[in-house]
Amino acid sequence: MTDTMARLGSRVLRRLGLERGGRAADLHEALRKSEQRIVELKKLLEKSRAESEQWRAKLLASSAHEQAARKSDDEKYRARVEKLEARLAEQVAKLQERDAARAEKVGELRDKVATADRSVRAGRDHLMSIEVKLDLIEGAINVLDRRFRGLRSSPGGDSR
Amino acid sequence: MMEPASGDGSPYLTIVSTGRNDSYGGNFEERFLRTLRFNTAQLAAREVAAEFVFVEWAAPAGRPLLSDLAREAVPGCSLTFRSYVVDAAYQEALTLNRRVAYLEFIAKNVGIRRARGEFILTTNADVFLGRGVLDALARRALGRGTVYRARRIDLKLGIDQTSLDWDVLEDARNYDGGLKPLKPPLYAGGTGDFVLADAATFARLRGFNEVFRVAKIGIDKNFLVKALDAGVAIVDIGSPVYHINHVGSYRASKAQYRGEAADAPYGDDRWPAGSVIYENPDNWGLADAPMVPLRAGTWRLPFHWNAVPPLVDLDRVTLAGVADADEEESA
Amino acid sequence: MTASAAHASDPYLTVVLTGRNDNFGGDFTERFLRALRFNHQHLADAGVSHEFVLVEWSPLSDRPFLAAVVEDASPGMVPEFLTSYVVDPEYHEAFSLNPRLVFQEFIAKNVGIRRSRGRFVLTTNTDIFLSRGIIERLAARSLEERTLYRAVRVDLRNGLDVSHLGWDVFEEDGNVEIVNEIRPPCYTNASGDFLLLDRDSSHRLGGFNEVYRAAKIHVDGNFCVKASSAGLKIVDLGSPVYHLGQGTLYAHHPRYRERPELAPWGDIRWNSTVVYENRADWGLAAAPQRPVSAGIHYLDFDWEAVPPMLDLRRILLPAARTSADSSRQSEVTR
Repeated sequence: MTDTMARLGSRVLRRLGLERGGRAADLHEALRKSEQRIVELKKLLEKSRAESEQWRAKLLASSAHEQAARKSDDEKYRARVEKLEARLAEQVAKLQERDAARAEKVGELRDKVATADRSVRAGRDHLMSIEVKLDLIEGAINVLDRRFRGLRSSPGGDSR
Repeated sequence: MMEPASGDGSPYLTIVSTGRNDSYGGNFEERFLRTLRFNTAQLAAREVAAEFVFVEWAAPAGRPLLSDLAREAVPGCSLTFRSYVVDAAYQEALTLNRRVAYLEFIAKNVGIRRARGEFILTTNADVFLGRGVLDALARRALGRGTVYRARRIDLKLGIDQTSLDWDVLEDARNYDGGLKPLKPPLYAGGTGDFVLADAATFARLRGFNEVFRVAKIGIDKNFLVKALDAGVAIVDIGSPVYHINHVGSYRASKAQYRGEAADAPYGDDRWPAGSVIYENPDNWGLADAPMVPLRAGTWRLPFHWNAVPPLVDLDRVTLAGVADADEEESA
Repeated sequence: MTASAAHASDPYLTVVLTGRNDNFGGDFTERFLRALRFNHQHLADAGVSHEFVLVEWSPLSDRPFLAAVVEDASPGMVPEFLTSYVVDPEYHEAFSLNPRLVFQEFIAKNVGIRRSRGRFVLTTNTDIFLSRGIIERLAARSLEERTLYRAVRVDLRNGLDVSHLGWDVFEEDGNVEIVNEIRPPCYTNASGDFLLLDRDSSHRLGGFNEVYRAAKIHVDGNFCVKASSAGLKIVDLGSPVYHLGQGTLYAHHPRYRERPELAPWGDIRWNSTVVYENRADWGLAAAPQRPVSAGIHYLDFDWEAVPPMLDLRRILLPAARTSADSSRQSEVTR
């Protein structure tokens, strides 16, 4: 508040009989100080605003930079992951191939074992059959032997 | 006596086999009659219009003809049974190897040449047709220009044959070989037990090789090589047939002649059946042999030189254009 | 007689027995007559039409035929209910492949099976008593064809009072000495005492093994293996048969443990899982036959009726069957 306005203010108050002369000077001083303070505060506010803008600009700049850096990192990582995935897929394919080959070998072995098992069983069956036939041959030979001896030792038999 | 299979006299299928009453492999007659009963019953049950053509090759004198025994074994059967009794002099005139006492594939050609069916199956007299084969025949699912093959499973030697039914035939514990699948392109392996094709294809190929008569082993595989060479497709019909294993069969006795292949009764198995083919003459299958009716459904083929091809006819031996496939064969 | 030559008057059941008048075991004839009367009475009471076919193998020349003894002991039995076939002793020598066998039990039974008229044929032994359950089952006429029926043999203790043999004696648990258990798939174990099969199937199998004649032991079990191989069902009838005292094998087997080849029944170790195919003329079909008296026929010796000494191609491996592994083999019928 200006001095002029302060004086005007006092006059008004005197006319209205609302204020004494000394008190009006105090009020005027207070008003002058308030006005000064306001100006200072405004300046401060301006300054703060300016600083805030500066910080904001800095922040934005920093954020863009970080984003760029992050993007670059992302790309690097992505490339690395892709590379690793490709290697993994390659390894898995190799393992699967080996597994298939092994499974085929196991299958072949299983077939061979089954064939061998069948052969063993068939062999065993035939062996049993042969044993029975040998029993019969032995029995027949013994019977013929007895009959022949009977013939040889009978009165009409040929004895030497 | 059996009646013709269909109204116009043309059956869907002719089954050609050969044999004689000579106790081959133990008791050939019994094996033959057993499979005949089984196969005729199965075909009749599925209403397959079929005929049997049996070629009795060089039958021994003094023994009943298998043809006659066959008719007695399946009386009242709805399938036609025809038989041709070939004079023993043909065996003597045709053979180029005295050890080969039975020219099985020329005998089969006699039957093929006289078949009336749309399709012809050449097989052996001790082979049981598998269920899948019978079903394919019943469905009339066969294509022309194709040779069908079937894996042959051997039933173990000396198996009890009192009742050979599906329970026994389809139980792997009774098997004694033939378990590996047939392989393309030839699908060879026990070939002589199952070669099925339409009559036109057989006519085009002129049956089995009558030019090379030094061995009978390999002649069946040789037919497949010829078929492939002629552009005929060969496929596995997808079902096995079953064979009663016996003494004297190739699989059962080949070990006996290892190192002495030339002495084997089926001939030397080392001849190049996979690469050398043939072109039979026009009168293949003893087409020019006189035919004399013996009794209803049976004809005799008395000997005549007109029916006999030249002893040697090298122009009819050619190289096949297909690669040799090394497969086990059977006699 | 062929399987197909059946007549309306043919009985439902033929019981095939074999033996001879030689006082085997000391009291063979008494034991035979006792069991014969018991079984005949109960079958008749239950209304089971039946015949007995008795094969007298290689009879002793100084004794009357066993059938004649039966007729004397039970008048009216022969020929109405019992027919006998007497087999010339030369057949025994001609068939023999083991001189220790003094009685070819199963060849003799084949003679009876071949000539049976019943729709069903039961081969059993002369000292076997049929149980109530078996009689009832026969009376019900519910037997199936292509099915071999077996029954457990229950051996009763020695020393029982045989003057009155009724169900109370047979069914008393305290009298049981041994139960000869039977198990799937083939239900062997004392099978010779009870094998019941329709006649057509019996003929299709060709009876018991006439190819292997070096032993008689296990020939009955061998028949069960043959039946299984031929696709027949084998079932436990669910009721036993009874035998007084222990069986001969059980009683005398220990004596030959060290030297089984010396046993009078042949070597127990032979492979009885290997089967056979008899010739078409099994059961002495080609033997010349003449009547001796009513109901008694004599089979004269003729080499034509004797099979070859060796016929090795008739020794076969049994056929494995997918269906034989299923639970129907463990069926117990009631």
